[in-house]
Amino acid sequence: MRKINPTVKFFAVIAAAVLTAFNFSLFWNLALIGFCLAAMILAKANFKRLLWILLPITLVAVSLFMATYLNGRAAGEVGAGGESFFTMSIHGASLRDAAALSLRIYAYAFLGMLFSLTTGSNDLCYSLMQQLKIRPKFAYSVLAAFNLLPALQKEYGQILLAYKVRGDRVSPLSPKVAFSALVNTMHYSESLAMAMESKGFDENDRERTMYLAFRVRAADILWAIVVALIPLCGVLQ
Amino acid sequence: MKEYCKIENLTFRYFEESKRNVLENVNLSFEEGKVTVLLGNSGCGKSTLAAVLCGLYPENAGYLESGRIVIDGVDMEKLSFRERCRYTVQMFQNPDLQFCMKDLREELYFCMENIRVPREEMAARAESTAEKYGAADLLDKPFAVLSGGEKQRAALVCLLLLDPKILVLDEPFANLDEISTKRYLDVLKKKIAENRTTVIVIDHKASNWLDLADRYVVLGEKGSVLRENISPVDLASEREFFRSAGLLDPFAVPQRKHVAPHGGEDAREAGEAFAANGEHAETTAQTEPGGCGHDDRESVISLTNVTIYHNKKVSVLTDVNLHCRKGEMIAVLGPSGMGKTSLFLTLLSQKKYTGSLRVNGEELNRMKKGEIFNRVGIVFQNPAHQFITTNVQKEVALSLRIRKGLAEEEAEERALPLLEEFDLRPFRQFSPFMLSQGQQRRLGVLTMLAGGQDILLLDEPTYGQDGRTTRAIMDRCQKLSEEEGITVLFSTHDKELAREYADRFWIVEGGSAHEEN
Repeated sequence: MRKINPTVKFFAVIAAAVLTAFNFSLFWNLALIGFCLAAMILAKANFKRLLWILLPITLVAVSLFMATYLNGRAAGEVGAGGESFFTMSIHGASLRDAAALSLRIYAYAFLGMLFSLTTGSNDLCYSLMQQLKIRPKFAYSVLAAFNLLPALQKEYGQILLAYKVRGDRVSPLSPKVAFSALVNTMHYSESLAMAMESKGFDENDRERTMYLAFRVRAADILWAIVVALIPLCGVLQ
Repeated sequence: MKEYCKIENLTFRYFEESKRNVLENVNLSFEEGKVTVLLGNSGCGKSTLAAVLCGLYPENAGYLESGRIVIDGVDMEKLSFRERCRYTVQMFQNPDLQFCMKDLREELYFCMENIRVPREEMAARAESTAEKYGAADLLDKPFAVLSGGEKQRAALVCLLLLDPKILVLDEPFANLDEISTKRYLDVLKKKIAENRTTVIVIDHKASNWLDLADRYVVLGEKGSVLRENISPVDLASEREFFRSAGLLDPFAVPQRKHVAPHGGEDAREAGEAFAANGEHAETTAQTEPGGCGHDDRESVISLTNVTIYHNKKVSVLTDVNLHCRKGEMIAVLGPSGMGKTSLFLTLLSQKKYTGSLRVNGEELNRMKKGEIFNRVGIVFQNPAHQFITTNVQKEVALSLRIRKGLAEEEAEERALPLLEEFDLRPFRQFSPFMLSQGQQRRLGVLTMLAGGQDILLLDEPTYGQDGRTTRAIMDRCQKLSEEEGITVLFSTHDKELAREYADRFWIVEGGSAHEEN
């Protein structure tokens, strides 16, 4: 799974996500979730992270399930005018709809995790440069920003503390703090760009060699077709 | 002298329409395989000169009015960054902003990709380079967990892999302790011996380079050359010139200037013992409450059996017993990454601790945050994190307004002499973010000194400062301590500075902290 071309994986997941929007089939949504789960097991994805991500997702899915189910039942009762047989059938439809909708939330979550938990940021950037001819300037900017995140997080805390020590009472989401952080970030980006250029980074160099090499193989295409085909079956059902 | 690298008639400013040149008609040349140390006051254009020399300016900022740089007969203007890095590469002051990848191995790959090294050779070359320059242990450690010293060493290894003809180092000992500095210099020596690499170093301390430098060049205003050929042998005869130019005296023997306002004979002896021994002397007195002499002054900070935590499970410092009294100046010493900053953050209630930590007799955990900030101020290692206005004068005035309740106009007026004292008055209308790193640090210290808190925590307050501004900062702290009873804790790697100004020394190392004589 980790060997699937990251660019192909990226587009396959996007396509599957779009198709999932039209997929109301319980079975095919379950199939998609099962496929994603199997792929993540094969790729030895970090299941601790998976469970953490699933926590809020479950909350959303359960809320949606309850809202759809209860709302659907109430509407059914009004429309049924007290007919017990009719009410029962409406209940069944609501349950199915509620399950389909909440499963769809899981389907989206699993598609997202399938990509994020099995694709390294370096792999994606190198692959985008090689398969889509994205300019190194963009790819390395993304990588640098990604790698700077821990430092930026620490810096935000320091700026917030600086405001408080200076006697300015600010909240963590204060625009003033965000402004200072933004100015610092701009300074960061300038300094970092100079450090990269000092090491010979040339944003227009199309002939730079690359440590990671990615090709699109038949297996990648086949994998992409399977991922997209599962929700497509649900749409066509 | 064979002119291997020649800077000809360089005039540069940050804005084309500006009247203020940062560099004006600078002419300098460098010999192949020699180590040149550029000295000069903070803000005289040293870092700008380095960036122009490496082609980073005006490509990234500024306007080059005239001049050219020729290395080995090649005009640098026509070269791309890829071609240029064969000639000059630069290492920067801030160790956090030198890497775009996650760890040293990836960063080395990035460097090799830049110079088009074939993919198959990269892994072996990364390993061998790291091994050769003693950085194999850093290869797979994320930069986020490296200390400042380790980051500087990693940055140097990346540059050496590129095998440049000229290595430009801008204050490479940024926040480095002695061990890290020595390891860094060893790597550099090896490279110079092997490849006759030309090295141009910017530093404020000439004494850092006594073993390695071939000559010293002193720059004045706008990069003008005041002295071009001071050899290390002649350095002693130039001491008077260094002092008059406001530079750090390379052979100054630290004289302890600060005497705590009340008594403190024990402290004086402790300081002198430290100065005499140079290196860490044997600990003679683990302080106990009231155990640092017979001083009856009010205890301002008191840590008893304190353990400071990085997170729920990991402790940074354990079993700390330290105390200081009103009006004392305490130097906090110790290797990089050992917990000096954590100790400061704990005093601001930003880290969890167990044990008893009292500020002015009150347990810190029971104090409100606002109350703590009214009593304790901090200057961070990176002062750019603490600017909250877009104007230098307003930055200082804001501290006066908030803390001393002055009206806006009065505060701005009172800020001017303070700016004058710290050589910042000419820049009063600048954005703090436009200042040089040295100037930013002075402004950071000034904003905090103007804040009026009883306890000041200064994290490396004089790094990157010349002799005059170092003295201005520390003299101001000393004045506040003596006249207003402000307690100052300053962390530093500069032992001379500590000996000169501190009443006592707190050593943070090996997972704990103690007082040392």
